[in-house]
Amino acid sequence: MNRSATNGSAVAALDRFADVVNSLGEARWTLPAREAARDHVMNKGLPTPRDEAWRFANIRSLDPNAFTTPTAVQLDRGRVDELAPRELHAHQLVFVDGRFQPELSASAAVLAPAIVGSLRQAWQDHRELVEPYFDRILNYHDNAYAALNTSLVEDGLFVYVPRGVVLDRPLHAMFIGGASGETMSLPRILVVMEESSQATLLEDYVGWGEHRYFTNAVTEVQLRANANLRHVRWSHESEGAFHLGSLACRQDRDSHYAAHSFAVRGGLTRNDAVAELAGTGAECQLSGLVVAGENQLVDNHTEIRHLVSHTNSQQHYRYILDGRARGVFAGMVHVAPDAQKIDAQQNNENLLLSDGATMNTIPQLEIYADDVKCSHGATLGQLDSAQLFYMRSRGIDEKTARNLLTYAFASEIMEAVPVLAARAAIASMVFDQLPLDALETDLVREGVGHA
Amino acid sequence: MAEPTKPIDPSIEELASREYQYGFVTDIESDTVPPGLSEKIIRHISAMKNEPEWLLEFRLKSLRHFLTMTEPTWPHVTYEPVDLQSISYYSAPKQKKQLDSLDEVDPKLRETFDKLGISMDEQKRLTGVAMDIVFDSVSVATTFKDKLDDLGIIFSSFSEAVKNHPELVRKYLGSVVPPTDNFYAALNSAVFTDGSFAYIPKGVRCPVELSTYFRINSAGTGQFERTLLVADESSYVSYLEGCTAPMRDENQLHAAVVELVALEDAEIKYSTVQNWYPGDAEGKGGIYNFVTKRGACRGDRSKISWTQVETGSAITWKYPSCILQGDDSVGEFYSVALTNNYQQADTGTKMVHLGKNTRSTIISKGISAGHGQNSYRGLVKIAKGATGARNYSQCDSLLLGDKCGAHTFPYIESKNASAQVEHEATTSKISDDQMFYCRQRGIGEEDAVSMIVNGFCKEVFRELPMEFAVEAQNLLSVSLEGSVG
Repeated sequence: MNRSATNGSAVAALDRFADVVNSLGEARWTLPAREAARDHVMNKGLPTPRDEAWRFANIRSLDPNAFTTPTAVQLDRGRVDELAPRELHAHQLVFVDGRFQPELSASAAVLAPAIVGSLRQAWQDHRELVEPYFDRILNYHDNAYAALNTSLVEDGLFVYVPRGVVLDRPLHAMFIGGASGETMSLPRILVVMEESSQATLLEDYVGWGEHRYFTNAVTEVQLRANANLRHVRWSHESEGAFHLGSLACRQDRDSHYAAHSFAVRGGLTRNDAVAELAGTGAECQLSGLVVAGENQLVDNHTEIRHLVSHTNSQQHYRYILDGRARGVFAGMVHVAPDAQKIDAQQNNENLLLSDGATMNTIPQLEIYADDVKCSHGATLGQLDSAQLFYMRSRGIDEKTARNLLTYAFASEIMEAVPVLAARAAIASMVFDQLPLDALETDLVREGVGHA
Repeated sequence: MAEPTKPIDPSIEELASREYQYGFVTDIESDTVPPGLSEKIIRHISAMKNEPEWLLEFRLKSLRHFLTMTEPTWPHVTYEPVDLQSISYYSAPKQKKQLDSLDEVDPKLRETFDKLGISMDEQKRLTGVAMDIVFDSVSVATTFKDKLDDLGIIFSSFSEAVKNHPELVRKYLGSVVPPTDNFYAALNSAVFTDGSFAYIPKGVRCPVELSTYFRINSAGTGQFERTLLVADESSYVSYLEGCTAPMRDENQLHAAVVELVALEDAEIKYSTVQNWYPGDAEGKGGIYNFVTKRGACRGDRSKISWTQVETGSAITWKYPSCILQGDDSVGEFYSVALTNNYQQADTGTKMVHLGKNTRSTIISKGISAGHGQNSYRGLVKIAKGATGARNYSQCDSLLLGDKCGAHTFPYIESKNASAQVEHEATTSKISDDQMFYCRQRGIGEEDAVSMIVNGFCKEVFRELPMEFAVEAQNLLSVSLEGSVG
């Protein structure tokens, strides 16, 4: 049951709708999808804490009407490059407030026959490739914010990897938020991987300046048979910024999807990830690390839908909460009737470093078939006193011992990141968030070098 | 590897269709109020029972609140909504005069309970179990009264307790489950008719098991009993609860409230073997079991332990919970829930840690067979002040057959860094390896399944008092046979 208190018609952002539609040009074919999404927002309203899926997200602090429409700004190339991880050697794509910046991005021509670039361009030039997938993978039923994105989205990233093509260099999509003040930006990503193709996508959200802006992102991924996508997603937004990210992935036979998400900085971060395993042999791995400090809230909702037999999934999420941080994890494994021989695991481990921190975890299983092996585990606690004692007995002082153990807890998730330079960049962001002492971090940092 | 859909052994199938053996109806004259829910009916029930003014007030207040509430839809079950106006809220076997001793109980009633395997004859009781027997809306007999009186233990029907110990009832009624708690608790608070009351004085260890047996008999009624158990400082009591109902095509509503209060150093052990009529193989009929059970560990070092074996009811919706207020208090929940045919169960527990060094354990075993849907739903909440709190939860589901479902919805919340919470859950079927091992040792398929299922439930069964453990094991094998293919 939905009892939204926010009336959809009161969503001022929808005032943009007419302007957005008028500017569509050749992308006008997206209009029916936009209208349906707009009607959904109007009828259902935006989520409130009374909606079960948003109960712990403290969405009250997010007033969608408090944000303006982004305006075009020129960003200094040097400063943009500084924000990117060092020595990444990736194909860089830069988006400012959701809009593609060709002058700050690498030329897509080198990637041919793959198509990588502006979604707006793709609506016009590659309608036949975009139409079967755009707004067809993500179900925004319980998530009116994703519907808001669909109705108003103006640009984004389109990735199309043809059959059998392997992209050697990772794609680094950098979404810079808050460049033109307190705005709501609507990044949108559509990834279509044809049969037996391979790619690595690094989705990077970073704040420009210290505005309280709102990133409302949607990512849709389609993996055809035997396709393989490694997806790393991190948000390092400005302090107090809002980040909502909805990800949906549909997988055909024998495809492989691994997504690693890192929520390191920002005010309110909410990520929804849904993976649909629709072909036998499909495999999905979701992992995540949350490092949250003073007054941060990070909410991860995941759902893996095993629709057919012989599909596997693993989920592994870890949270480190300090100060008055609040963490929420709600993971669902759904096994459809007659989907047999399923192996699904879900783990959520949480480290509470302070008494002000709160963790809510809801690991869920919904199983309608019998020949399955599904398990989940969740733990909540502090550092193991036996481990601390062991370190102390080896002459390591308490502070260092705590730091080492906290870092070790985090590192297991980071080690799964496929691109070394990205891993190092994430590790350094994690350090900055952890209550580690400067002296000790050198010791820990040395450890990263060997990773 | 075995085929997912193996034909079911015909001999096992035969056993599966074994009838619910408590499904008979006793032909006994009874006083039943006309169906419907209104202030008038409640005043009528209250007047019939000669209740004091404060209790009527409690009922009316509950009713007024109830009328503002809507039926919850969050449980993972589907059913036709209950028409609360078509239920009769009071039905009692006709009694000609006040009974002086058990010998005067209507022979038909006696027969009924003999048939159920519950003898009202004190001499015939195997071991010391003092029993209160509730037939439809009223308590008909309480055994072993004298012996308990000597120790100062109060154990009687709820109505008697209202008459004889109004100060105790008034003090604790609604103190653990307030009438405003939820839809069915509010309904129960307005219309509850009878139930059991027990009070264990300071320092007394109750020497016998206290037990209540619930029986729904009349058609078109619901059962709304209320149980209130108070264990004073340093006392101990073990309480058992059983229930059955006749087979009918209609769905009957059972909405009970159980409140437990454990004061300093007290311990309450509460065991339930729930075997309401589950409906037939097509899912027709059966009891809707919407129950609110909650215990408060008020005092330091107190302990409340729930053990339940849920094999009956078309729909079960029940979360025996512990509020761990006292420092060092302990809450436990052991559950086996079985759903076969079209049964649905949404059951679990809440452990609310408020005091320091409070500990809780949750062991939940769900078994689904046929088209059964079994959900575990639980909450473990560690409040800010619950320093050193500890919880361990384990929820295992066993699937027998490929049309059933098993679901787990645990909610875990911690606001204290020194607390430690662990939750694990698994869902699987009986593995081919386990079956193969048993079979190659010459154990028949059915026995092997029964053995494995019993092993799966062992952690819970060993918490049950002995006679109940035997009953539970038998119940499980009856309910399960034939569901394995």
